[in-house]
Amino acid sequence: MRSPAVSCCGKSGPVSAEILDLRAPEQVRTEADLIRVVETGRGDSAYTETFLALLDERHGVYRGVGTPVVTRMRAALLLALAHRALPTAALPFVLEELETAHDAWLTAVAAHVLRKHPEPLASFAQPLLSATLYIRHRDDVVRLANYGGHGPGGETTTAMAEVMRTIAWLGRCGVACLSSLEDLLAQNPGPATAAMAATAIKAIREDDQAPSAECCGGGEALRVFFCGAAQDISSLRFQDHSGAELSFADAFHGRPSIVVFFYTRCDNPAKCPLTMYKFGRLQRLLQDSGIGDAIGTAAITYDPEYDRAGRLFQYAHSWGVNPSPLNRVLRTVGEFSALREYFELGVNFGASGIVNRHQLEAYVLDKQGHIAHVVARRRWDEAELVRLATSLLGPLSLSGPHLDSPTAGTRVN
Amino acid sequence: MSTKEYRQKIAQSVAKATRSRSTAAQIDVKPLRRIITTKKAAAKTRADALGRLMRAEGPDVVPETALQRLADPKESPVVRLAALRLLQHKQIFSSVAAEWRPAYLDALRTALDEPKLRSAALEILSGLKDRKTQALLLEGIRQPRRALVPADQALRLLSSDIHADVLEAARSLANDQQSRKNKPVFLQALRILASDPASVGRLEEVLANDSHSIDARRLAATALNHLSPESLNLRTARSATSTKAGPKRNDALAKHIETLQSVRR
Repeated sequence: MRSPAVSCCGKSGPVSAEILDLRAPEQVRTEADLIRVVETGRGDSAYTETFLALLDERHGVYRGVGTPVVTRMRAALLLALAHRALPTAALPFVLEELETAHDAWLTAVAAHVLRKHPEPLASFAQPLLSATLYIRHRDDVVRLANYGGHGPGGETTTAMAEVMRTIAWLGRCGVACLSSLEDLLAQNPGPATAAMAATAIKAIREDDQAPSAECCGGGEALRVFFCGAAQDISSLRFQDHSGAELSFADAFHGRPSIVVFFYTRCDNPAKCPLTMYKFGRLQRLLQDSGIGDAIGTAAITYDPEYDRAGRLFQYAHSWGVNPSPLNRVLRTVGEFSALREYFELGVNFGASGIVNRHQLEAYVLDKQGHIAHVVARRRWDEAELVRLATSLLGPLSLSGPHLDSPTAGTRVN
Repeated sequence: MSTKEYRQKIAQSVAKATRSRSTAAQIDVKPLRRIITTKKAAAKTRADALGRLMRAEGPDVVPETALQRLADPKESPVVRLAALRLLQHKQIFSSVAAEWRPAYLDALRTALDEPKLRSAALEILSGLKDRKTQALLLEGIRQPRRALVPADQALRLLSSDIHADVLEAARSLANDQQSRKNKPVFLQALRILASDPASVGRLEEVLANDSHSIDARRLAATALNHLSPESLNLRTARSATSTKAGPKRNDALAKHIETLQSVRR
């Protein structure tokens, strides 16, 4: 990968003069530091943990930089992780980029590196299809060999081309893509896209390799136990969509709750707008299941200064949410940082204070407001959240939807 | 116009479009392509031929010729500008627009180097939130000698994307005494600060300060109404309009604030 001159990293000053412990992620403070680490560590498995730690949105390297810088850094990290072979631990990050595809460069990189995974899996199919849907009308020419995807020279590709190549690489594991690819062909998408879709269909149909065990089972993504945060934020102040002020305890004590995060200025249709749309569906599912009064829901903004009560109500309403005292849309009026720490929110902010990057995340809280379950870095499913919340109802849950009885807290990545 | 007349008019225009499409389909495109690629021919003639070719090809064909003409830095600016306009139009109507979007963006980026195409290319690329273009515009604000366009235009072009680091640039320009003397720059910066909750204090100061132009103060009032409606209360409005700016200007500002408040109610 060709690196840029340090001056175009959006950071002033040269590469850190002091000696950097390249494998210590906490030492990476700037884009220039990150480029050095990536150049030194790519292809070296000793750096895998460092790269994964640097992909965490909360890392300090993302603080105070703009969205374009964040995008460049994350793409460089994904390319470095997959320099030889993509480790399984990196899959949640790669699949998240595909599922919420928004930037052609990052999508092209994610699709490209997925082919470096030791084997194709059926669970890759849906994120790849999602990428075709979201990136097709936002596509661009990218140069994978150049840092940031642009710059002179280097072989060109597009996000769509990389995604289609990866679908073809899935072979038989991509069988779930067939009908969508056929639909795409039927729409007469243009000669190049049609050729790529036809190649992918052929590759899936003609693959006679025996699939791996997970391949056709659509295996579950990583599931890691999560220990709830210890700090108490019961008194943290919020304002809801109606302008009423309340504390965390007022909002979340007394019944299990499902909490999602968003901000109204998010420009990625696969993130916050979709989250709010699904939040409305979640609300209706709870009501239809007859447990709308037993389980609370809340959507909390990452951008409390801008997202004032009126704006929250309008935004939620426009996506089909019916805000009410049990289904609140909230902003902190107290310290947002306390909330961020409590939920370990995967979000960071640019120098102007605007969100520069966030992950998809949904939480299920118990009756004391403690985090019981987390679904992060992938699109959450309304029924799954309801099932998890119902498990916290106690004896009442006998009448609620069936649950596969997770007894301990979980974090699903 | 009655509904019946309106329907007849629509039917006539659809019939006309269908006729012209079928006529276009019968046109032999080879001579047109020959004219376009003959560099000895007058640029205007070649640009006209390009237009006729695009019409003949119809909306469902990837406009390879126009994309090539736009991307060619040695091509005449007249032909390139015609290609740019035709492609801009075709992006709306083409059923295969997604397929040639990457080539279109790449061609537009090459057009930034040609002064006669720059403005048109910047408008399109900024509207499409092109990161590379945004970086060039920001660079131009920071280093005016390397700027593609004046700072006020750069701010306007960047303002469509709040994630383009434009807030920081607007903040620093709104605070810089030298920039504040440049009215168009100051107004564009204020317009952008309407989405910056951290700038409420700055906007209040502009609203209350009668040394600023009436345009700037009206923008500040609008921005405050958007960001922090309670800041635009009766007291602020009264103090903002009781300055030495003169009765006519005070009246205009008072009326503006009144309108904002009544819309909010």
